[in-house]
Amino acid sequence: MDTNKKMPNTDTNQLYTKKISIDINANDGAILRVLGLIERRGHRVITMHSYMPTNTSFKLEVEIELGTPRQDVLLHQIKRLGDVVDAKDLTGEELAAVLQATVKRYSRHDMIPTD
Amino acid sequence: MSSQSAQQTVTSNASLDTEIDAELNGAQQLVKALENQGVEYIFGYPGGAIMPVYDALYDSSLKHILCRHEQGCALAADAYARVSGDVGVCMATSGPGATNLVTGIANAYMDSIPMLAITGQVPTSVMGTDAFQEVDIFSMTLAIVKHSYIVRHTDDIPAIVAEAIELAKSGRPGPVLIDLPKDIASGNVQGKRFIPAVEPSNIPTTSSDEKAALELIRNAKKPLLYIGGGAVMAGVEKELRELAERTGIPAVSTLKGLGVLTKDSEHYLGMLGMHGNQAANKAVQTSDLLISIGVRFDDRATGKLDEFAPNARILHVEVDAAEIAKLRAVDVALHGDLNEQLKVFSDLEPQAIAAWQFDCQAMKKEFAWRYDYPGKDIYAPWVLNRLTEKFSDDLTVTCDVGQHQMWVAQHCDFVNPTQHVTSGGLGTMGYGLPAGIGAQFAKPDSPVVVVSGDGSIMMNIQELATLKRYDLPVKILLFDNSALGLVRQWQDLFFEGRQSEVDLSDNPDFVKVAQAFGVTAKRITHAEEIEEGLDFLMNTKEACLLHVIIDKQSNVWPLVPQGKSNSTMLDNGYE
Repeated sequence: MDTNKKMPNTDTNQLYTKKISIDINANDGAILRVLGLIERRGHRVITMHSYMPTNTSFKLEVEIELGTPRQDVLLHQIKRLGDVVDAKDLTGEELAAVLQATVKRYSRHDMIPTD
Repeated sequence: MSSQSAQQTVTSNASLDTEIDAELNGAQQLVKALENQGVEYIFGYPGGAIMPVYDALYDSSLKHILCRHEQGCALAADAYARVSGDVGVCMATSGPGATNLVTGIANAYMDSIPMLAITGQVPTSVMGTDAFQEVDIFSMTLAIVKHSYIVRHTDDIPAIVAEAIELAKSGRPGPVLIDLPKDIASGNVQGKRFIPAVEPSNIPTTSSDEKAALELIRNAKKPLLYIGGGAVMAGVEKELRELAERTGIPAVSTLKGLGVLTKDSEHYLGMLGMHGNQAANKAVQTSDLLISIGVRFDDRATGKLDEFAPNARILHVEVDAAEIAKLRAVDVALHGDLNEQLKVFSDLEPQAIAAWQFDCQAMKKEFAWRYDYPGKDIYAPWVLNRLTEKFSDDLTVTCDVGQHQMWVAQHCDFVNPTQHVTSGGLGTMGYGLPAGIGAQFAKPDSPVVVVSGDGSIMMNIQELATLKRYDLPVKILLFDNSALGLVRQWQDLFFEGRQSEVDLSDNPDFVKVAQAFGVTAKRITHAEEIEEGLDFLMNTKEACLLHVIIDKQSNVWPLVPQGKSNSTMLDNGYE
């Protein structure tokens, strides 16, 4: 299901974001590889947080701006990476049901200085 | 294509664990691991940081092929993989050696080719200090590899090699990089691996949409098989030929899907896309169901995406979940190994689509390629058509990039997809000659013809020395229009004829250049010499080059302007 179409980001004062949770093997460059893919595929990273639940793994939580590229495709692309154990977000009916809880609203002016 | 969709594990993978011989240093472990994995050839070039590995190779049974530029190594390994079906291995030193591999790695990534690239690296003690010949090749290649490793412990080497080769060839294949610091290569093995293993996961082989898929096909009035490189990678040519034959569903293919169906197949309409056959494009644009098999809806195939197959529903059969609905929404998807997924259609009966078949046949006849070129100059499409007619079916053609690449796709008659080796995704000028070297090593007893242009050949012409060194009987068919022809054509069509930096009339004498490398060469300039020239290629037992002078104004037709719909094909015939 294309969740982007349900939440058009047409209000320039609003920033719609969504979180993805990613489990990664703690190998060289693993976090860079994931973040690089997300940005290269056209998604804007708003915040990120990572920690090591074990000595051999990372938990990476990335908040991305909802935009044109499809998030369901992005998840598959992330899962293709060799270091990634799992990646998930809230999509489809699940997202619709908890929309208010999972979508944050920022004032764009709070994040981007105006000229 | 594939996904190792899902779950990777951090636990040790028993199948990939390898024994460690503490008597060997890291470089010797690397070489032994490659031998254990069945690697036969390494296309490489030595240098400072990789010297321990070259020392280990001195005593190895591995066959090292010394190309004359690292890009040649990577591209030869790429083609070796395509033709042999094995993982292609290339190797270079740190710094410029590593960066010279990058184009070849990207080429393999874009076309999903299983490749292992091994780079030397400066010693760990100076990594990050801007040491001599140090570049961060790991970071530079993150976006163009399936996976990559920096070896931090000598102990990890055997497991990393085994794992890297498995990753490269599993699921959707791709290149894997191993960056090996010099001190790690020189160090002795002491214990077990430190890093967590990456285990390729199983691809799902069943789908809950089988019934829906069959229903879509049975209800379609104008179904069309749209076959891509994924079908070739999965090796399902036989299944698709049988499916097309049994059901009578017309078919088109992408550049990388050429050879799955042959031009003799009754309902096959040829290649679609920017330089595709008009019948193929028109069929796509009027189809009501695209049965898309191993395709990624590449822009060169679809033209303007919003107007691609506007009336068609999409059934996508694909091994890589990340390709499903990436660019075009699908109605039904069958995700998994194509060998399994195509079984869904095993009982599909002949379709009652006589009117559609009739329309397709009429288009096929109307837009069939013509070879009644009126001039006395050499008409390149005719040469290529004759090439595959004259040579046996075990011929391999490797292409460079430009007009000649499109003419090969249009006019060579391939009966097997591995006959056609081309840089599809990246479009790498300079691919053809090193690819011919890789292909010849993969099939040493079969003819290999490199089709190149005067622009492309100069990008890796140093590999003529590699032909001579290994006495490879690669044949080069070099079309020369004294220009970067495809760019010139576009400048004429879309930039008001302002031909900017495309003139190559100061090319060297290619016959003399070839001869200087010890390669037999001959030039033809008129149509009446074509047969004689092709006979020269066929009958010369060693490496040879046929220099074919063509009209500077030769164009590739038909053509869909970039960003336009496939419905808007330009075709100026012989102009």
